[in-house]
Amino acid sequence: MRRLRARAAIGRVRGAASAAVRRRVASGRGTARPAPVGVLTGLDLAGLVVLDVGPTEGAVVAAATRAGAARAVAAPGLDVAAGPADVVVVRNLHRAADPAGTAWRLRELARGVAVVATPATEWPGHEERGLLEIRPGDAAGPVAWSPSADGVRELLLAAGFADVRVVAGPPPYRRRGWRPVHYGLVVHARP
Amino acid sequence: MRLSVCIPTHDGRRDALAEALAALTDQLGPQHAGRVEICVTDNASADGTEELVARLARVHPIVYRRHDRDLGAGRNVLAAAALGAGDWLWLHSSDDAVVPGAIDAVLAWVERAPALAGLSLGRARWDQTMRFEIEPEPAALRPDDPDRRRIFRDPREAIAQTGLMQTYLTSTVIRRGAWIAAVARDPDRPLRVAPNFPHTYVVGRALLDGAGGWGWEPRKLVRTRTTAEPPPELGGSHVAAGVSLSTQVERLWRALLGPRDATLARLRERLRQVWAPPEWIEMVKLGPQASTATDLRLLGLVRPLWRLPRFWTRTAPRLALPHLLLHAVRSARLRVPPMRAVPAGCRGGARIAVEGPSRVEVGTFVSLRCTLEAGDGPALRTALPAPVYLDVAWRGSPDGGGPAKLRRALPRPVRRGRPVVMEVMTSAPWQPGDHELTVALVQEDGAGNAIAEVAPAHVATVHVVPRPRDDGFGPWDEDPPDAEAEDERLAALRTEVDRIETWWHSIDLGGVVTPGVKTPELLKTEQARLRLPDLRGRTVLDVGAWDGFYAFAAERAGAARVVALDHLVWSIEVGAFTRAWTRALADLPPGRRPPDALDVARASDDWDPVGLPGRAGFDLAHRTLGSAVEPVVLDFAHDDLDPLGRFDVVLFLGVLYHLRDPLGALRRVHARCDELAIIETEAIAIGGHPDAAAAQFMGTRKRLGDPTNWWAPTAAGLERWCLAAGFSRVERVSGRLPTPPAGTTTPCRVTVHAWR
Repeated sequence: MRRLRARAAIGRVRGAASAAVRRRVASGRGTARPAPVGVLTGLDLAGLVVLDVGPTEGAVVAAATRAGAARAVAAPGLDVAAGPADVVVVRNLHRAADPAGTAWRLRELARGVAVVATPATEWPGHEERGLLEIRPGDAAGPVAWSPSADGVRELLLAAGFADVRVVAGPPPYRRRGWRPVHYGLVVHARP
Repeated sequence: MRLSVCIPTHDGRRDALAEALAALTDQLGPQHAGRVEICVTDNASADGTEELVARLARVHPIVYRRHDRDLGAGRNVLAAAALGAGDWLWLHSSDDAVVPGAIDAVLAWVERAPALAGLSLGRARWDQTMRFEIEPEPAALRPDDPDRRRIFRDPREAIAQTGLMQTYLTSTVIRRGAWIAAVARDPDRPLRVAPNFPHTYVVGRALLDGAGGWGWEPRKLVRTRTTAEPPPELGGSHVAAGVSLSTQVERLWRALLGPRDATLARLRERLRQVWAPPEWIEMVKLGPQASTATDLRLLGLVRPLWRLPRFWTRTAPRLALPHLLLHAVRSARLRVPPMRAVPAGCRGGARIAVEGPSRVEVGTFVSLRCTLEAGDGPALRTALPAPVYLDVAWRGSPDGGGPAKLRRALPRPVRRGRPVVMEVMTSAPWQPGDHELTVALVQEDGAGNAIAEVAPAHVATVHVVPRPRDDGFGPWDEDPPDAEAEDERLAALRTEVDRIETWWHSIDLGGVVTPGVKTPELLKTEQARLRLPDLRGRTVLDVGAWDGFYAFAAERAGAARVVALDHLVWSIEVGAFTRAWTRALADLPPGRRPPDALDVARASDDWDPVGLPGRAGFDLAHRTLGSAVEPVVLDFAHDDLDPLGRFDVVLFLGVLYHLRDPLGALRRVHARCDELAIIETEAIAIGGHPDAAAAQFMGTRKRLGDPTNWWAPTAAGLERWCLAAGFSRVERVSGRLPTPPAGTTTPCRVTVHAWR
């Protein structure tokens, strides 16, 4: 009896976690945006200049400073960025009216690594099509993009980056049902 | 040179004949004395025709002959032609009229080109009262380039191009010698082969016997009266008359040309587009008189249509199967549940939503988009015993004369949550004023009788306005073509066309069609898919014009001002760009990304934004056509466009997917647009996600290897882009999109209309 109750309790927890994840993924509204500090995972920032482009939160700048960056600055957009940097973190690609132009500008500014963190959409069965979902805009912009990992890869490769790696990609999903999967994407690109 | 206008008439045509004679005699003057005569043959009419003609003959050169009995329409036509004594015979129907100056126009033709066998005249359709011009006939009725005067030297080409116009009496002028020679071969054969079209047979015979070339006069010298009632001897209905006449015409061409002639195939295709399409059969079948006997008789009447696969897959099953099955069931005396109306409680909230214009011109075609939704009740079914149909009817025409009620079958059952969208085309009434248009969902009992209205009818008031009248044409501004000079002109034009390395559009320059990558058939299909609005009096901007096909088409459609804008393909020839691009790829160090196509073009030695070598095709077409289209060289994506101003209609065709910033480009289109932008682009359909709003970015995987391709949106994605660019409403007009299997994508083309 005790064993049965324990199993039921575990099942409830598992079920609750699965249901919560399923709700989050299926709704698409509360897309899993990666925590800002996660974008710098795996990078050695000692002595480098870091530029954080996106909604000013300060977490990336603080994390870069703690990691030993020589200088870390924030800018609201690539067009008003102060100048090139060794590491450029872009967290608002999904709000860019011209994502290809943003990728081109990113290539001009990034001397070392470009980090792109964005809400993403994966289309099961179409992982290598370079797709970008187009969402209705709001006060922040006329459209919102939710690119796939391959879409971001194509944007960066076309802009001139040679090495593009997905650091945080889509969660495992089943193709059965063919529904789009929403998640937070982090990509590192090098010239 | 003498011209005889030959008019066969019959009982009941007195008033119409009076109008026809008045139109002719009003333009006769002293200069026509001895040159023009009017010959009237009367099929024993008793309505005062004899008195009318006798009164006019005292003053004008009219010859009259009355037959003691009705000889029939065909014999009367032959008799009227035999009465003419001039060198040329102008056959004239007794209920048509000619425009002022038409006689001088025909005389000028026959005097300048006396070696011709004859010519066909352009015509306009007018209503029964001859007060309003109505929608022109289908394009298949006229030659391929209907706005240009032409002489067809090859008899088969002449028949293929003007064969349908030759069926109309008043549009036919023939040299009397050619007529006599053709009839003399076998005097009875014209009437045996085509009792209602002996003149068409004689003209065809004369051409094939080598009587000479055949001319085409594009100006609408003839006003054709459109009758409300079809001739009783042809079945008493428009449909029966149409199929009967089309059968005769097809038979006479077969007799002239032979059953396997390629010209006969071309004529059949034109005939199919003009007369007795299968949809007419469907309309009759859905009418109240539908029965098995009617269906079988109709099947026999439309023998010429049996060759068409579409007839057997669509029309014949609708005609035969339900009624034959029902007849078999009833014959077997099985119990069939009585036809019953859907009880009121079961109708359950079915709805119709209709989108259509609120203001139209008389007689034009009105396109309605009807969205049918089933409510909580049972689905709206299309099968027996009580199928549901869509009825479209006009009410309120003060003098009648409106179009008949339209009844359309639903393409599939309408279930809750799965609305059905139907595009319906109906004719506007012929009388101006406010008319009530009613669209209703009607349940019938399988025999054409409506037994219940399933949903509240949609009623809208449509304001019908008269069309601007054309009271004739201007002064004689162009002589008929001289045959030898025409040949020399064409040879010189061909040389100039061949000198240009690459043509993108196939444009008819008047006898010479440019060898474009886009063939005439493809352009015709594309143009139909665009669903261009009425451009008369409007300003049009064509972005990415290239050789200018659509700019010239907008000008021909009556646009007040057309601007053709381009930059890249005018500044460098396509061949030179391809060579530069190939060199750039070959010189690329390994591991480096391919350069931008525009940068490669600009860096090339052949880049010349001043000399514009790529605009040679546009310039040649512009010069040859005498066009007033304004060419403008600007980079649409980057240059300042404010000096251009705004335009009523902006054509943005085949450009969007070549731009790296599509949303920015659409914003520029919105800024130049006052009313409507037509956007056509390369697109994709994503299998498993038909409504996905997305776009494919072709960074390194270019479609077809074209380095200038960047984006391919889905249809929903394009609509969302347009709304984001500032357009208030977007309508997809490109028709059905492909539905690839899940996991695959299919390229396609999408066209949208975006309103400011």
